[in-house]
Amino acid sequence: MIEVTKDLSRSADGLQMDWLEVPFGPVFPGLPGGLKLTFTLDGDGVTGGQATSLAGMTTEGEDFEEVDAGTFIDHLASAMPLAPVSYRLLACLAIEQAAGLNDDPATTQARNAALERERIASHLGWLAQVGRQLGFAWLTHRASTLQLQFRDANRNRFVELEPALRALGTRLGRTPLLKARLKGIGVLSTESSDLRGPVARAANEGGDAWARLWQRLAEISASFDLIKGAGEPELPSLRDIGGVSGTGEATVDTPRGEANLRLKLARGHVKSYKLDTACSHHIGLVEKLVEGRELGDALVAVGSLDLSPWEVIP
Amino acid sequence: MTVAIVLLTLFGSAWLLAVIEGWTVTGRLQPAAPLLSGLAHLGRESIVPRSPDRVFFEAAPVLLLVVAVLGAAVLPLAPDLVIADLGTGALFINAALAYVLVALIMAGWGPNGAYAMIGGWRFLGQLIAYSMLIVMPITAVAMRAESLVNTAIVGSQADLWNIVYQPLGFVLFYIAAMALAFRSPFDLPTAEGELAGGVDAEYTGVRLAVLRLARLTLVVTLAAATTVFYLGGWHGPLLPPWAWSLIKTLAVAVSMLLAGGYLPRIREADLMRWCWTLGIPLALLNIVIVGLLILVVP
Repeated sequence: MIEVTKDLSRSADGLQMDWLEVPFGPVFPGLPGGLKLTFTLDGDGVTGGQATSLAGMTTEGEDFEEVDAGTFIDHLASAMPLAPVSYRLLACLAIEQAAGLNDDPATTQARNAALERERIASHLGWLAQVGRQLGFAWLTHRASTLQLQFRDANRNRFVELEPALRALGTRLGRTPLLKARLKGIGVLSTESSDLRGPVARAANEGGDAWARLWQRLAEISASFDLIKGAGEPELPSLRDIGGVSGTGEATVDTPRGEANLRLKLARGHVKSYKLDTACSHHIGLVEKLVEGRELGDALVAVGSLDLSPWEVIP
Repeated sequence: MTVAIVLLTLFGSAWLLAVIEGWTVTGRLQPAAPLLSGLAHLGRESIVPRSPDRVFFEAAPVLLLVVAVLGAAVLPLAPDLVIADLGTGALFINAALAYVLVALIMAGWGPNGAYAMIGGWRFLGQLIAYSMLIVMPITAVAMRAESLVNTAIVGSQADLWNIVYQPLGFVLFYIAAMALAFRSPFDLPTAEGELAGGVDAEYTGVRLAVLRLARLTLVVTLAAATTVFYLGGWHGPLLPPWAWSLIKTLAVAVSMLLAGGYLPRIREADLMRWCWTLGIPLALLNIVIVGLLILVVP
């Protein structure tokens, strides 16, 4: 036995065992498609790990082929299938700023309503993913059903769905074992400069997976109230910019955190752009989050970041 | 004849559970679906992973099925409807079901895959957590019956079922039985979201069909054990004894199947901690209470 293990790495408990390098993804039941985790396992403890996106945008923003503004908006929205409205809005705002257009209050209100609707649907999708990861079938079914209902809902439908949404939050608060499963897992402190969006906001409330769950539920509630006060949600579309040139920059608080877009416009065409997303920062946190954790806890910690592989910019 | 009836009951119940399980997942009641699914598995290629331990890989699903059937062999459906009414029947169930661990370790080790191997070893930890909570409540049940013979244990509940006489023991046994059957929220060895199926992950075709049948049969066996130990076995008005055993067994099995969907999977460390720091003291308390009741109440 000693000869077999004498040159092997030593575990935290002092035992010398085989360490395995095991991939999780890019297609794995508890993770979003396109995300690949590679863990070094000592038993079912994780001694190290890293995450890579196999679905992120591959086009270099600085030297991509020049396209007209409308095509660029469609391109960006379709490249981010988990948050198409947010990135459509981001592109519209950046292009309109480059074109020197002023804010139109009615348009802004309708766009914001669409953004908040997407935030609700996205957070519900994340809840369904958490349910899948934890084997919590009720949550998966309930959250994914609500997600589909909210995705294209108008204001009247929102009012109808309100009780179901409130009931979901109440039910999660009363679910035995859920707190034990999430509390203290994947702790991130406010000191980290890479935190964005709900992950950053949850850092003030404990910074663990449990805090991130309640942060997203609070955001669902806040978005709901915003939509009730705003107009009918409307998919962002570009206003008439003509053949102008200029540079524009916009920031949108997407469901996963702030995304920033800077672009150069030349005669109504997008010449170059630079995109910064929350997931590009969050994916780097994985290594620190999983080290020394039990496998199940490590996967919960990664899942609580709500990484979208498409929103990871190389 | 008795063997045929018990086997028919066992596999018939497993089929019914599969129908109900499919109903909860798809929302459609399809009685033929488990049979069609089984036939489809038979027609599919049974892939053998690279460099497996062939003996372990092939034997594990069969062993799990044999273990489930062996456990059921000592459980009476009616006073004269039991395959083997052993003098140590209550202990035999425990001994037979200990081989669930062996089957899962083999299923984990055999395919030479990381997910399966972790799943198999996880069950070893799970066994350390739940095993005392199987044995200790059975001890209290045998104390009341003053026998380890399962028909005598059912007979001791003619006036008052054990679920009323020793409710604490029932709760502990029920939870431990779910952990033994590795049903959600104790599905650590299979954990779809963590291990992509774990011990099931590398099985396909006919082997997977046998494994699934074995898992459902195990649930039925444990539900039948719960019926015998706590729900008065065949006792009940109007209907024939076997019908009461069947109804109670199915009710317990369905509850085991459905309850897990409303809870997230438990952490292995929490399961271990709660079983040893809370479960075992409660099981001891149950034995003391039952002992006092036996002494005090005629």
